[in-house]
Amino acid sequence: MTHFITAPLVNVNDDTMVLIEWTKAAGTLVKKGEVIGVLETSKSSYEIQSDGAGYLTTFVDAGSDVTVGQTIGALAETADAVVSLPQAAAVATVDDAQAERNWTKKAEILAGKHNLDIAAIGRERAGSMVNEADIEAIVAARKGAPSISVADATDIADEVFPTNRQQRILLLGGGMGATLVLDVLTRVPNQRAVGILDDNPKIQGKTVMGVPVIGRMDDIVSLWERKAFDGAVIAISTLLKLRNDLFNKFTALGIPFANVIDPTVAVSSNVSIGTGNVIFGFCRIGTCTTIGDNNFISAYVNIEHHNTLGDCCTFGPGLWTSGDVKLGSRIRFGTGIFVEPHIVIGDDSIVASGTVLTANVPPKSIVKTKANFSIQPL
Amino acid sequence: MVTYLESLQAGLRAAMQGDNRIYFLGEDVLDPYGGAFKVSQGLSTAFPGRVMTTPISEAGIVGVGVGMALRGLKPVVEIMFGDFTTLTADQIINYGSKLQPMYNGQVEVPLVVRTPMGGRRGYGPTHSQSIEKLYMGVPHLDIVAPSIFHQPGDLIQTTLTESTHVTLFIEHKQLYNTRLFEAAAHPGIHVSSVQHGSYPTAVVKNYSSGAPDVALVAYGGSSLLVLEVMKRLLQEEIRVVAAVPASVQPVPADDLVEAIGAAKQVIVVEEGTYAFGWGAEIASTLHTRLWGKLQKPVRRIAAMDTIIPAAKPLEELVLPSVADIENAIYEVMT
Amino acid sequence: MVTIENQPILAEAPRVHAHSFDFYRRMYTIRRVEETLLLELFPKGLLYGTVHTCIGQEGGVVGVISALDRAQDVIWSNHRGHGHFLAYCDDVEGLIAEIMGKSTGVCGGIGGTQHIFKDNFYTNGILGGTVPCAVGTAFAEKLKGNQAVAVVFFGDGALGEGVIYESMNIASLWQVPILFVLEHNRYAQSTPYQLEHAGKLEARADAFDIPVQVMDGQHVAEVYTTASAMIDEIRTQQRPQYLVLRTNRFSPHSKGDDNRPPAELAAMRTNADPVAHLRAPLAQVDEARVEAIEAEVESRIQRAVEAAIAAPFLTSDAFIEGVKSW
Repeated sequence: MTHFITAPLVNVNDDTMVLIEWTKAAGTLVKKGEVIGVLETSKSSYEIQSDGAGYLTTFVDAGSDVTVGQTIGALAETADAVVSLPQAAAVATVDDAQAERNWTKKAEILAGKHNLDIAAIGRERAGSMVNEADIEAIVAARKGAPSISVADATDIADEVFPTNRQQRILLLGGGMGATLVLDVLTRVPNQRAVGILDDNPKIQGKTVMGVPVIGRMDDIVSLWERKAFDGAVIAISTLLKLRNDLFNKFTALGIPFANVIDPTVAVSSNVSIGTGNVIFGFCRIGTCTTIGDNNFISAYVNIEHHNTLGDCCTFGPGLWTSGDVKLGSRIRFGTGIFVEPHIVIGDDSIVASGTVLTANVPPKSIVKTKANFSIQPL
Repeated sequence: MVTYLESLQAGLRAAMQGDNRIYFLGEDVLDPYGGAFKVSQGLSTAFPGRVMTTPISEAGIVGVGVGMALRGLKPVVEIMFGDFTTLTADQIINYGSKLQPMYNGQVEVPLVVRTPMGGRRGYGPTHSQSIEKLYMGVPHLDIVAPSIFHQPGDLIQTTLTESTHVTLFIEHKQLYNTRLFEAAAHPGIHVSSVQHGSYPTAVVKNYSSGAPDVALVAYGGSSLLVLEVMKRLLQEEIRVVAAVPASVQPVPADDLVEAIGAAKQVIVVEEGTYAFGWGAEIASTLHTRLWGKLQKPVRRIAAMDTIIPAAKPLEELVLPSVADIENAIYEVMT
Repeated sequence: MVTIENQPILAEAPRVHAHSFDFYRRMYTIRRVEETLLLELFPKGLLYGTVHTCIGQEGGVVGVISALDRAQDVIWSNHRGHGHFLAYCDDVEGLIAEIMGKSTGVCGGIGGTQHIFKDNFYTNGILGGTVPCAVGTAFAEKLKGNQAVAVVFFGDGALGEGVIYESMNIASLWQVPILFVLEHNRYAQSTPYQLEHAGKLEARADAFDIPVQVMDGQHVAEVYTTASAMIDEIRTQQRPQYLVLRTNRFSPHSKGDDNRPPAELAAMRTNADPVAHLRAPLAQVDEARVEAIEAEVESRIQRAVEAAIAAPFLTSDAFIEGVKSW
């Protein structure tokens, strides 16, 4: 029977040693107790005494590192026996997991960020290693043609009930404004959100209130070409210029916008409302009032009878107009504002919170309140 | 092919050769034994009268070292196991590190207290700890911990040449018989150095171009884990930069910031227990310095907040592992 | 061996020694500086923190330190170290300013009462730990080939600290030239030594083969004579010795209450005041000289106090500059 020689534990501080030399040549007949080799540890050299007898086979060359317990040689019963290094039992390691996959961890992480199925890509490319560059190429190739499964999928309910299918709303902007709009949509029975576009790379592939961010603003073109939505709405409240530019740019390309109006909004008779407006809870629109496009009207705004409101205005909560007021375009209203009858407010103006407006405001004006206001300790 | 131990031995020998004010004190340090971890092997033969074997009196010999340093000598005191430094705390905290400032800078205390910390040797709860954190935050005390990316012998020579106050020189048991990093032995791993203070910080990269995906910060014995992780992730295309400072205290903040570079995720690794650890100080430093640049909070890896069991699988459970670091890297990247 | 159960009593008048007037000047200086701290500066709020005084122990203090070669020998004092300091270098101005925290103090006001350094003089506020440091300084001088001796003072309370025994062992083993001085005032803060220690305090060093002398610490000249002989031997034989001084602390541990029996305190002052006891025979020899010494010391202390009050604290900038370089 072949006797295997293992590297001994010489001292507790050395896991590895250097095999300085075999003092017996391979093939030599070795007796039990004979010195067959020399190991060197950090502290001393150590003579390996044979703990069996037989013809020596060496598995490790002189000068090599050996670890404690490693099989370094064997003693065979006959001179012509062919002895090979016994195969170590398989030990489950993280390496095995790596051996089973044909992609790098970096590729896997990158794929995850782009909603790509790494296992599927791995199967497609069986036999080669999928790496970071491969995933980047896939991502680059689909740019401009977002393959958003959510937006592309045909809705089963829409197919079965085509006459009362919900309007599919695409949100532009994935920030705080989006949560407000999505909240309204939860209560609007004939509309549903299908996706969000935003230029912020950090939120790509994530969801807002369960609705996925499916691309950049400019992806709206291809989405519309594939009829992935029915109407867009801008979910950005404070950045008036961006709101204005997006609306003008996309309407010029023929992309439809939609109004999103909370069910609690009270709209009187003979009211005209444009498109792309968002109107939040408990607002009231008086009779014979006309509202333009792309306005963002916060809760508890009361626009009285015979008013006109231009385009692309944003409102803080709680604005009250009287009758026959004319509000221009691109006006930014603060919170808690009262407007007297017959007042005209010009375009591109700003009206501060708490204003009680009793005079007309020319275009490009800012209205500030003069109330002396201070907070002091009691 | 130099081991950590050989480098230390050579550094001490060269230092003692060059400066006859250096004396070496410790338990069991005389030849032929040469110290429990053989750091002083050959010294007592080479420098008769300058290597003192001492009673098992850790407080006493560190106190004697303080006194010797006050009077113009440069004692190197070896504490056989880092765990035993608890016995020297009064001498380090209330004497060695305090005398210079409390005497308004009128004295110098160039004392070096050397000691091995760290586990993975099966020595159990009282001979395996990394308790250098007990001394972190003690003012006017330097803590230096060479890694496999440093030349420990050069570092101790720097300490013995330049320091005018007490230095706690933390070695790691597991490293003694480990070969120091050599580029030829580790293809794909590149080591450079940055240094704004007294000691260098090794900058280890497993890539040669592009921005890092993640930065590791570690010192001393954890350098072994860092190297292993970086070699594994080389195949995974994950670009890791590691900052491995030789100076534990003071924190070489400028070195770390420079070393970490463009990395947006940082993981700090230490072998001491998690609570109130070195990693917390590093995280605080980096959050302050890199506010707005990091994408996620600094992630910490440390030993479990318990003792180090004697049983091998339990010791492995308690101490940080290569897998812990690898998994943390995947998590912060995902 | 002399027992140290009882407190010392100065029954006999001391003989007038060649150095007696110098001893008296030093002892009187120590006494009056500490009384000034306790009775004048502290009540006026001019001291920040605490002070530990050695009032009543001046005889042993001056006797031992006068036996040293101040130019080379090393002194390790402790929390009760004003007397040792003044006996060593007589720097009244530097001490008072230091205790008041002023920049003109010997450590810039950073150390304060318990952390005083000057030349070969070291103190620390932690008990016991001074002793291995002292052994280290003496050992260093020996290794450097110098003839210096170190002396370390500790009280009976400190003998509860184990590191002292580690240090005695090392000192004896390595033949370190050091004199261990136990100032046995019988109280550790408020606790009588019988409640803290078993066995004989004078026998502590014997186990390490360290020669011991026990004596009353109130006779300055006798302490001086004995200490001189011990220090000479230490210097020539290069091995440690242990001197036990029976003494009294008249004042409280620090500035606060003193719960010791008033009768015991009164007896101490009556029977064992080393300053008063030395004054009497000196006054018989030359009263005018004694009075001149006293007047000079008083005026010097008053000038030192005035200078310290007027002196600035270390500036923030100077301190921060130091912190960066230490």
